[in-house]
Amino acid sequence: MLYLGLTFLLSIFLILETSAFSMPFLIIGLIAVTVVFKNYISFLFALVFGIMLDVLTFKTIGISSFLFIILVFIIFSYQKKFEITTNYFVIFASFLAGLIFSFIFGLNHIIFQSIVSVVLGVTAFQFLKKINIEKQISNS
Amino acid sequence: MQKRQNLLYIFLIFLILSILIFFASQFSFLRPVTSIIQNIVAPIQSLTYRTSNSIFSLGLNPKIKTLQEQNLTLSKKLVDQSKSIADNKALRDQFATAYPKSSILLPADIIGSPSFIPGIFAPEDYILNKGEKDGVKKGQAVVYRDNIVGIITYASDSFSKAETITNSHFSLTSVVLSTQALGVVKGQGGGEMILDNVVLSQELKKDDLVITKGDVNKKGEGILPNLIVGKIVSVNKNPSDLFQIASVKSLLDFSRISKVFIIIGI
Repeated sequence: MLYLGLTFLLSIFLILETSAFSMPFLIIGLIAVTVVFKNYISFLFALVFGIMLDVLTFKTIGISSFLFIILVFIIFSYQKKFEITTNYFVIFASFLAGLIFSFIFGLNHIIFQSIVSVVLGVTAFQFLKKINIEKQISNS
Repeated sequence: MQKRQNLLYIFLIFLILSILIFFASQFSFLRPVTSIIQNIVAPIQSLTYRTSNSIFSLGLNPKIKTLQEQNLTLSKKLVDQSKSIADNKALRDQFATAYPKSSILLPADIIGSPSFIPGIFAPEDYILNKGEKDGVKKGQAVVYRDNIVGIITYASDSFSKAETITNSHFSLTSVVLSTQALGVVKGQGGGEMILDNVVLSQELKKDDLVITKGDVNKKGEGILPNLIVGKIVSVNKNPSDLFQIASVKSLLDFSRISKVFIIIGI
């Protein structure tokens, strides 16, 4: 049920990114999902949604997946050394990811995009954290 | 330690998968799959694009919208009139036709704009719901009325991607309608354009219309002449420079267009 919900959420981000707004919604969503749930399913999400993003934006298929998978791996690697389920980490990761991806995919107004990415990232993180806490309470 | 090893294995498996998909996409056998995905998602994309456009149009004064429409019509008349005068001069009145001919135009709906934030950035790319099976090819011009919107940069079976004239990768040879000054219109991103490479001896004036010079290949594909690019809003002329530059603004509001026309032949 949770995986279905996350798939639905990431699908909404995908549609918004490919049709209405140029913000890196998907990568922000992926960071939030990885940080909150710390589940290796994030790799599958990175692969599948990366392919979908490339198909719908006419990019070379596989390029976004490749970058998303590396990003998820970096987050998991940091998990061993730092507490990642914090606003600070999400702010740092969202800003850096927004900056790098806007630069790689040639988007304009990189700094503005990165700042908005931070706001979106923290919002998505708080939303998913709340869901995760409720899930843990219902499980216990 | 075991968990760390698992992470590395999973990472490598998915990384190799993405690399394999990357190489597989270089061949055409993935095209049917991408077409299916695009066909499934297109209606949702189209709906989202239209909804977001409607939401951001709510604050727009209807009077401004009407004035914009009238401005487009009058500019078209100005270009048509100028063209007619030139044709009369050359005793070629009998060839005067509506321009561009409706028979060569393929209507297409905009279903997405990946580099667009309503109210903040102007769109620089459009995803259109027409593709190769409708006769769309890379390099064909996209217009709205007789204003150039952009050029097709990629076409799949059912969909295509068009780069708008304000895209920073876009450039085309253009002329100023009143003085016939020749230059190159270059997109600057963020809805901005400049007319560059105009020699100092040519005259550029504010509010002059800039039109396409035409760049059609032998297959009849490309940008037709006399399409409106925009209006000069300011001129930067420095006697020590080799060329003068003018800022050009399109008469179209790219963020509010939902339908465009692809010139699929001549």
